[in-house]
Amino acid sequence: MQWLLGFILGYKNLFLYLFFVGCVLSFSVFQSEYHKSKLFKASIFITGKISEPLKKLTSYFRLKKINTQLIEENLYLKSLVIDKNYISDFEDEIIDSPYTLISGSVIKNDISSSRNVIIINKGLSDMVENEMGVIGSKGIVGIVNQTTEKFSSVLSILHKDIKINAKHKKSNAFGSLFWEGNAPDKVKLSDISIINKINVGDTIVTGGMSAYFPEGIPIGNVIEIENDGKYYSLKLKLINNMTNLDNVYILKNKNKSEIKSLYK
Amino acid sequence: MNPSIYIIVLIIHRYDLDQFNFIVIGFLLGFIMDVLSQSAGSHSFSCLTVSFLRPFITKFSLGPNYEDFSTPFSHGILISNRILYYFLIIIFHQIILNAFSYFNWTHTFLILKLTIANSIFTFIVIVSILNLFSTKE
Repeated sequence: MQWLLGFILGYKNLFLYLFFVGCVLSFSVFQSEYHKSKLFKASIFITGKISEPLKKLTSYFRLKKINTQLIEENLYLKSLVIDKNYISDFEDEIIDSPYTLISGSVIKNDISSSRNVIIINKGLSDMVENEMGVIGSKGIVGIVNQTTEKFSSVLSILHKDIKINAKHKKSNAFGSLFWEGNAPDKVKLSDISIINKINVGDTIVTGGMSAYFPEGIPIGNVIEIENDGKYYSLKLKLINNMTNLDNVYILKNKNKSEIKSLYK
Repeated sequence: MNPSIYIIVLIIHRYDLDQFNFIVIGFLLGFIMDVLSQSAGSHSFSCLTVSFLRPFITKFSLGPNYEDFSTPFSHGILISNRILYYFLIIIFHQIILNAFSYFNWTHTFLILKLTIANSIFTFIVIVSILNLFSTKE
């Protein structure tokens, strides 16, 4: 306190000057509209200059919160995209989608072996169960294999034993998607009848004939077409980059148990 | 052209008195001028700033031993230093006065023109007055 008093007394002339400058500026604002508008503009400029770096700094510290908000927003948008497939063709009536989404983050991702498994930070406590589909920001990622209380392992689409029902977007021709175990960005779609017309660059999406994934989730684009006389064998480039996965969405199908009971 | 003769108060005020009071005098002088001329604080701001800066102007114009002098008319002050002192006070006052009156960068040339013209005119009038009423110390 004494130090503060000493400081003020040491610079009393400067403080007095600044005080009177404040008085003069107030007087100007009171006296002249022109000065008022000019000072107002100057104050906006100064406030902007000061608050801009401050805003940048605070927004840096708020990144985690913003990230969470964006994931929630993404979750909502993803569910809207999935729900879109359930609009009736004849009436503008939205049929309640059987899928709900749970967001999660990848904590371990492997692409080096032929049977790759991803670990995510959501488990039984987050309502994640076995055999749930997992999608990324752009396309499919895999299927939940095992769950603990807080974590789950996901059989990546880059797993030799996994086969996913997929279809050619334009012709709706169905086939079976699998990974050959080579490049982490290329998969194969086989058993598509040659009566369908398929071109390089066409999009392949999920078929919706399994309880794991709804119809229409993007998988990849055709880069190579092989023809054995009866069936096409298509080489696809994955839309989702499996090497830098971060946020994923787990698909919970309400009707899964009902569908599975029919298989028995 | 409009000479600001009233700043003669800021020029002849004694150096050995407290600057705190001098700043108050400078502000009041400018404020009275603003009220009388119905201006928007330009006189107050210029007088206030000149009264705040006067020790620096004095030091610059009268040299490092400026504390030996109590007024600008003290013995030992060279005429060139005295003229520089008058001129600096006047030009500082004028430039702040005009800049605050126009308060716009687009009028910079006009501000400089007015500052030069008014400073010269004020300088002539003030030096004449000071010589007319001078008393040797």
